[in-house]
Amino acid sequence: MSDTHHQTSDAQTPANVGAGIDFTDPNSPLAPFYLQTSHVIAVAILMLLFVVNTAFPLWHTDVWGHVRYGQWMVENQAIPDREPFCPWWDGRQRFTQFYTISHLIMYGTFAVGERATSGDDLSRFTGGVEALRFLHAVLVVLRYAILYYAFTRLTRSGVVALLGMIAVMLLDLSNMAVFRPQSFGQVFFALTLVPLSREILSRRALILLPLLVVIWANTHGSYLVVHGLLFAMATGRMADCLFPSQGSPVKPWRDRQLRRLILAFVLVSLAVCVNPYGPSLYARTFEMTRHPSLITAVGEWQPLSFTLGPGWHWPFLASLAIVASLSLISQRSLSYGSLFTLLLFGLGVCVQNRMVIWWAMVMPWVMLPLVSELIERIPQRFRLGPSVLSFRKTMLAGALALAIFNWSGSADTLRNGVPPIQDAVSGGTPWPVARQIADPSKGLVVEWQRDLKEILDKNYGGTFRGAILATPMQGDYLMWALAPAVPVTYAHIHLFHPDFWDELGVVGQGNPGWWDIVDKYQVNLMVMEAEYCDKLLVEIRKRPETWKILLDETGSREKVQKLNRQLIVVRIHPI
Amino acid sequence: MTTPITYSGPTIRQTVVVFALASLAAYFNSFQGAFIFDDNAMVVDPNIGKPLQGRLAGRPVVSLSFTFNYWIDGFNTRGYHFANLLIHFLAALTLFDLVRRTLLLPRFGSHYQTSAGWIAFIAGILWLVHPMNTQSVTYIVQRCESMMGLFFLASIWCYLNGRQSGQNYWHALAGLFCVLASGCKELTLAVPILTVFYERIFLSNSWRETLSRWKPLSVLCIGPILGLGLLFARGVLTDQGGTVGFAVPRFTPWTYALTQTEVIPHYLLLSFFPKDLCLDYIDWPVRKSIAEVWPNALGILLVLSVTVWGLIRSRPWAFLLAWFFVILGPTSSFIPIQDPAFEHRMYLSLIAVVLGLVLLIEIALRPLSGLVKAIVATVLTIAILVTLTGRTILRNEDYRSEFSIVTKTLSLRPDNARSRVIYAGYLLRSGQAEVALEQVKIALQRSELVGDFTILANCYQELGKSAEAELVIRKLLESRPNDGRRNYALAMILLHNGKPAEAEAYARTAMTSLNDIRTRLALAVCLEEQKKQDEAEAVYAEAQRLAPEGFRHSLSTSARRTALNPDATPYRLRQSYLDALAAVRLNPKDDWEEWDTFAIVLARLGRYPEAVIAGERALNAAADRSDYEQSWIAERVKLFRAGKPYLQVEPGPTQ
Repeated sequence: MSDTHHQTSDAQTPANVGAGIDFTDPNSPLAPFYLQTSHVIAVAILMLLFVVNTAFPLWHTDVWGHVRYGQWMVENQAIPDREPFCPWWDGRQRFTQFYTISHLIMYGTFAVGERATSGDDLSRFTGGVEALRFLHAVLVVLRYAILYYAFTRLTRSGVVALLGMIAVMLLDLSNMAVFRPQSFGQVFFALTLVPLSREILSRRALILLPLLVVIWANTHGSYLVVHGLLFAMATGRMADCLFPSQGSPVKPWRDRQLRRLILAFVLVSLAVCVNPYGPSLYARTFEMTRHPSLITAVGEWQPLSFTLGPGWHWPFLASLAIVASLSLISQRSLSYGSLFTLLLFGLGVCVQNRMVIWWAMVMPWVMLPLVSELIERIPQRFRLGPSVLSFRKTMLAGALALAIFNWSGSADTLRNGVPPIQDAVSGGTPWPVARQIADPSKGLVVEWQRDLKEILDKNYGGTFRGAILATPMQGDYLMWALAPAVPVTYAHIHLFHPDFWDELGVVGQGNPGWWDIVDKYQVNLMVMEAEYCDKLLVEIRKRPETWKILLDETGSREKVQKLNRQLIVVRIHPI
Repeated sequence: MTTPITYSGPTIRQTVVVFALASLAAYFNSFQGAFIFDDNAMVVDPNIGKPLQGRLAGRPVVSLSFTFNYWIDGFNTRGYHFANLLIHFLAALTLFDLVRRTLLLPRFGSHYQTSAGWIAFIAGILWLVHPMNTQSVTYIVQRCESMMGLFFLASIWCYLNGRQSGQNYWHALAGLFCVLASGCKELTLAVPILTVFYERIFLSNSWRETLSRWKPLSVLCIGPILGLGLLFARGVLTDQGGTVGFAVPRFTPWTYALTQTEVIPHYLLLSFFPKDLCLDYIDWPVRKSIAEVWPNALGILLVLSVTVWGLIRSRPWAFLLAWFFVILGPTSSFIPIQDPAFEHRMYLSLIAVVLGLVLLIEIALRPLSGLVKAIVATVLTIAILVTLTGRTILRNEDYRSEFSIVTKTLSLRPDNARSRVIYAGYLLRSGQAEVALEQVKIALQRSELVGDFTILANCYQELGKSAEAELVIRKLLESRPNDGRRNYALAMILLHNGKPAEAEAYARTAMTSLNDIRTRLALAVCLEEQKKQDEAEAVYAEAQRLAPEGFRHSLSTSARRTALNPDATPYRLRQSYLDALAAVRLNPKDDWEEWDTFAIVLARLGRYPEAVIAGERALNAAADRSDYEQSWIAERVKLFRAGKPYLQVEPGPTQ
């Protein structure tokens, strides 16, 4: 059935070539590195994935705030115990640092890239950005490589694993472009699937899994999903023992896999406690997931809805249909462990859009054994012959990897130096305004900056003062570049009280009293997404003696992505 | 009785998998649904943590389930929707196994040996995703219906198990499920009645044999007796002004029965073509003479007669008809209910329609050969399944918010006065008082459909027509002088109109039934406005104890937003004054933002000397704030001293 079987018969072994080297000799010390055809294709796909990921400019949301925290930790040699950048954090929402490791890695990567690049401040900054883009691409490729390995282990077929990897890509396509600490969590989740892809969880896994979770719990709040996975598998296994699809029931405590799953769950739960907050990290994580502003105002935290237009519901519905069909067609019955896992993660998607990234990995993982069984039922004459493990294929994979890498953004940077900043960061990154405010003496790069310079020189004594009110997306970069010297709102919504976000919502929507809130926070500059604040724009246009619109990209043809179109407004006379 | 030897069809595990996935597919977007209508009255209840004291105490099992939801995740709707979906999924699974086992009974010989599993599977999954059930699944409070349905099915399933295994504990379990069903909805008399029919048609050979099973059958009567007892004890059936029973003003038993002859065919139509589903049928025309409905009445009588004949002759198809009519009986007979139709009432009855259709299709396909039959059946099932699932998904979108469901209802039934009044409420809240008044006036043309027209008074009040507002509420109070909401509304109107002494009396009456924080605040303000400071303090103190977290802040924020709106009506400004006053009084300490807001509100009302005092108090409370904030407040106090309100400077020419 499979192409993984190592065939050594004469009929199937290719003739030796060249100087009589046997590239398929199973006794060669290089034998562990032999690849088969599906592996070569997988390597090519992974490298293409790398190329695609390095082609995306660094998206401006949910990344810079994290890098800034990493910088703070390096500079202060400590983990913050309160929000260190924004004066509007009032302690009502307790501070939790969920991301210590990811913040340090992200900042460390940025710093390496920055230092490795020569030139002016912009070039060095772009060097840092390039390093982050590289890290992001590596994490994505790593995740898929691990998944491929887990799928191969699960199905013992490189071809089926390849199908699984492609399925994950199709389900997860739109999530690839954004780099944030969650990307680390996704790699960890893929790693978790590796030991769970064996029939029985190994003893080694019982040690490695908790160790992984120690790192995970200090990297990103998504560590909770591993609990869900183990819980679903353990309860499902218990159901499988009590109500087996074949044979007579087994006493649950006699089942080795169930015992190990329960033990893994317990160990993982204990491992989470190895963090600066101890067991209270759980309570803090749940507190975050219940933050009213997150669950009511942020799209990805909201339940899945339906439109006839594009959206996550379509691949989700399609995947449900595929699972249902496969489970009816396949002669192999889906275990309760698999079913509970599917249901738990499926419900997760229904309740929160963002859960789709875990669904994208879980769904193929659960379904592949059924696919494998179906493929086995295909008559022999329609199936491909078994693939031969060969070092020649390993070399081919290496050559392909190198060739494809050559197309990547990273290769381009190595060859030609860092690209212009406009190509490295997304069009929505408000770096020109941040740069000008941070250091007014630096050269201006875009036209509207002259207006800002004029106002700053005339009314601000040359240097900006007051606060910047930004949408969370725009604020993320501004916070990185300017806080705490300039108070800025930014993307870490969970750190601030809902009342605060309500007030900012009033401003963003230009509702009555918006000016009172702007005055209250001593706001002298506003940076927003132009397409999402029509009413405010109307209000601002009514008051040209108070506010100066520096940049309004509403309907901009240059910026196709609406979220990149900016509105920048400065108060003419500071308060 | 023995179970058949061979079986072909989906396994239990496959069914669990596919049903679970179908539930997710059909209801994935139900999780976004908000609390609507009765949810707000019954579920979002301050006593939700005490299941036997809340508004659903009469249905303790459902009430307890809501309490669990509340303990786990507060008032986030996601958990409530999940529980509803789980209940529906379990009900569908129970239905599957009940149908499968029934078709495999010796009553049918080997007739369904190979198809029983598939028939049960298809009927179960079609019922699971049928859009008519959205009202029992997506509408949170209608868990009463779906949970009752689950226990109903479980009760009969246990009875069957008891009969097949001969084990008495199954019968005890059946009785327990029946009691649980009665704890969800009182009228579960259908359980023992249908079980008797089930016993006779599928399990016994004669009525004599059926009656010999009186012991396990009588166990099933405990639940309905308890439920009925509870209903009578609460006087629900005879309550004047109630919504169920012989005292319902819109219907007599005769007119209700006549009206139902149209409602039942409508239910059937929706079962086959579930397109224009509607939450509210209050405007359904009342039929007063047989001449209006004789074809329908004749048709129903005929079907009922056929059903009785079939039952007497123990025909299996008669059980499906009996299932349909007996379950609909309590709501579609001669006992008047204010709402003549609700789609959730079809939750269990729909099973008969779906299963009947599946069995008919099976009969129609019988002449076909094995493979062709399988292909046709598969294509047909998938087509129906996809259509129904799509409709359910679309219907779930209507439940997204109260606004969306009301507008949908009005688009289907423009004469629905009750929904129009709710719609008017939205318009009023969004500042469109004139349009809201128009809507209320349209609704008034069918005033018999709406119990409470307090909104009319609110519209008048918003438009500055205080006398009319007062008149409306006084008139409403004539019919129900002790009605808490109406007394509260009048107290507020009088308070707005500067009559605190008279308002106090109404606020006190309202307190006896409402006993909530809002009424307390109204009473306290009445007392304060009459300079009864000590009494007011005592009421404020009590309100302070009851105030939930964030309540004070929400009062203050709402007051500030209104006061800063240059277009705010005098009514809204007066309300903002009451809110701002309540906020400062509820706080034992001085909060600078609350006093600042109070000062702003006072200034908007032209009470500048008081605004200055409040502003200075805000300034004192802000002693530990930044220099900027202090100067910002001080600027305002200067404005108030100069007799100017705090509003945005008039805009200059456009850019």
